Amino acid sequence: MTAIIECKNLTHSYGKRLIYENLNFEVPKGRILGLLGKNGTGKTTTINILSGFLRPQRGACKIFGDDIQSMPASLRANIGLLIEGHVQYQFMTIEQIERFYSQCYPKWKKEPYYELMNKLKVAPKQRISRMSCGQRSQVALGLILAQDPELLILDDFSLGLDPGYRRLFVDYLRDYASSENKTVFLTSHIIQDMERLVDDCIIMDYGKILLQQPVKQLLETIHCYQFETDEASHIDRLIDDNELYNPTCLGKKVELYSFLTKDALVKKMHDVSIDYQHLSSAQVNLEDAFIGLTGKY
Amino acid sequence: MNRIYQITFVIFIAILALWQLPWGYRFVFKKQTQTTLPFMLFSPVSHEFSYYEKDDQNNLIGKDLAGRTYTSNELDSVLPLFYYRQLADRHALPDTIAGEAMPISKIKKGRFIFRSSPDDINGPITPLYMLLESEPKRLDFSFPTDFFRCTNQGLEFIDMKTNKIKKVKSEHFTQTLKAMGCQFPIIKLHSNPSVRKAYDNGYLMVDSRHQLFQLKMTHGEADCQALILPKGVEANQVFITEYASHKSLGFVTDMSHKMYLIDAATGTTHSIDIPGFDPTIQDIMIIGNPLIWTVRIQDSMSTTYYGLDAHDYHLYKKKVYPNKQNSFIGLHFTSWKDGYVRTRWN
Amino acid sequence: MINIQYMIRPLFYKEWMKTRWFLLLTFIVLVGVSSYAMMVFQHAVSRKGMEHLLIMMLMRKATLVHLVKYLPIGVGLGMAIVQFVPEMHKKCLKLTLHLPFVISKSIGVMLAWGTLMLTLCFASSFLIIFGTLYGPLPSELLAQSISTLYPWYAAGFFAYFMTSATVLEPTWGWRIGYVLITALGLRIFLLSDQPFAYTHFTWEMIGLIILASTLSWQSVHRFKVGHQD
Repeated sequence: MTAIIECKNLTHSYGKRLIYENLNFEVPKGRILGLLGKNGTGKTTTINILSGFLRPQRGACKIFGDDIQSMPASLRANIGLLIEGHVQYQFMTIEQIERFYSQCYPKWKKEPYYELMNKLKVAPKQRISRMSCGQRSQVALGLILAQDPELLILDDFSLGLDPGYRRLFVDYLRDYASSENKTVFLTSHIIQDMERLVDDCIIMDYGKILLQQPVKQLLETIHCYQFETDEASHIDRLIDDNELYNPTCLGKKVELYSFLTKDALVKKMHDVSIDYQHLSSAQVNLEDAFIGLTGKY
Repeated sequence: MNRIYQITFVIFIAILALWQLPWGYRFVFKKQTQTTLPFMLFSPVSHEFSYYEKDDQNNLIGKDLAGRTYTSNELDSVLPLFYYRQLADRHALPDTIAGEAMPISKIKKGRFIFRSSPDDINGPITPLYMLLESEPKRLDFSFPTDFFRCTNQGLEFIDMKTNKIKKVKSEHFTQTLKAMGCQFPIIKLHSNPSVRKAYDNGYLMVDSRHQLFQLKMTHGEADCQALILPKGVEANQVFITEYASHKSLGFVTDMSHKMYLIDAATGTTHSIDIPGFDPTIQDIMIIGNPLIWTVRIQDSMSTTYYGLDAHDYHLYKKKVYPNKQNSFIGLHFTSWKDGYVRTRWN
Repeated sequence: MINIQYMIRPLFYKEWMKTRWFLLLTFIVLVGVSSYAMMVFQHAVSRKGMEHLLIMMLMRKATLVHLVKYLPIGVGLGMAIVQFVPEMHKKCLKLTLHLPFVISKSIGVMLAWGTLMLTLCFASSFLIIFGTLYGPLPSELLAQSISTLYPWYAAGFFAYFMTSATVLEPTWGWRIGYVLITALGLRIFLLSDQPFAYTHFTWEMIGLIILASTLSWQSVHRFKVGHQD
């Protein structure tokens, strides 16, 4: 499958604070990829690098095979960019902004934009500065749809949106991306939205990528295990195990996440001499998996 | 490409730093090193430069360069032509000074101050000139209703009200000057276009062959005379004078910066016994009286005082004070030598 | 490679949207002040006579245009603010830089808009002054007034470019540096009000303006590679 985005050996730090080192990932054509990570793990840094507004200290990112920092300007017509907060030119009305962008992009299709605007029931002469964040998000989305790019980069698309607008945004985007075979790279701080939208996810931890795989595969293979034990202090024996994620203990109840099967976990606990009772395994959603893999703190 | 922007930024900073840092340095340190010279006058009595100075208790003490000290009253007597009012008040003004009878009327008539600064010569000017009627019907002078400009062909008078050229007047003045041997264009001219003066000497003009002329307007007619320069002397800068003594028409410097006084009665020039005065780079002040001229010439290198005999302008004495040189070179845009803004290194 | 002519239309449209009310206000103020200055001149002529006025102009080096002195600087400063503060609001500049145009050319077109509009505003003010004074004043006195005006207009362009660079700059440290350069630079343009004082400084003024204009590209480059406080 052709990679639309290729990032190799990305290294970046702010002053002495290293964000990540030698980060590698690819985004194949036609996939919706969500970047998940706790605050400070480098999500915004990655988005900024991908959208060309940050030069990484080492490594390179290519989009459509061209280095982002030196790509021909015309290639940007094929990249739709949603800036955090659904920022658009505040001084224009929805009609003026469409007129402006239509002169910039050769493949411009104004129909999807006005279709969305009609749903919002806003007057064509309404100024963007007087719109709610939700309305603005639809304007920004409509403009991206009208631009008709091959790749969409969306920075925290759910920021400031109420559940209704979030759902509207997600549904519209999902339908559009799947019907037009578009590639989407996005971040959001609301993981339920991601689950509804993304095909693949990258989960970042401090300084590294924890995993990159299809969401479906992740949710099928990761398990949340719960059991009880009288020797809670022995849980320390599991903490350093690379195959067990974030074991936590509340009274006698222990919870941990792992890609291991139940039998494999039983054997592991036997090996480290932990007595347990009522071992159970539960299906998890993406948010549980994210917290399970990266921890609550 | 970004390198180019960085270079332009560095150039910008360099320009501003070269301009402001030396200025800041001078602002902070010059006050400590600057010495101001006292106001000195040459005495016709002691034949020495004399001046007032403040002592530690802020009292004024008279001094001279021979090392003598004076009380206030004594110094008034050493410089009687300068402090004649004080002496007259005390009935201490002598009848004769340096062997010459000196009534107050003579002192008043013979006193003058002449000043010129490079700024006056080099600074920007608007090349339009006003020629006053030298013998007005009423006693007071009045401003003319026209300007004149100097063209390659002659003088061109412009009516102020209509902004139209006065052809007849222009032709008349041009032809009168030509008849005196003037070759246009006029390259230097000077006058005192004031209506608050006792009499009018009109304009001193230097033509393209560096000859010297005086032009006045008398009863509406051109009144012109060619002034006589010593053989081989070419006029350079001219300065009109209209002093109470009526003795002089003005000063002129030649191409080698020799200074002359133009005698009003004869139209001839008298050499002034100072080594040189270049009005484009030197500041001059002459404080004159019937007996003595004290001349102070300043430039960036030094300040020199000359004491001259007011009768024949020969030199009695001079004193040179070298200026402290500032070795801190910087970029400047303005200068006391002219009124222009331009790039200069000094 | 997108040809520059395709950039000009949309970018000029965007700049027009931002600046149109400011331009209208500027036009009214500049034309108003210039007209007022000329009315003062005509009033003085009718009260005291042309001769008196011209003699005063010649002797006192009066220029009749002192009312206009700080206006071009204010206009240049305001134009840059109106044009570029909306771009920096919530980092809107990212949208402009993401357009499928060569970034340096986009910045050039935006600055060209400002330069063009300032030229039109200053030209309208200049034409009112020139038109009023051309007939009654001898060419020397006309030149005396005009020679005082043009460094002020040049200062307006300098203020525009420096303020643009300052607003577009992403970090406060550099912004403060630019403000200092602006203040010192403007001082150079206002060193003398004497007529003809800047006669031998025309090329230097042009040089300073060109230098100032390049700083906006530097600011945008720094924004583009991610400099921030």
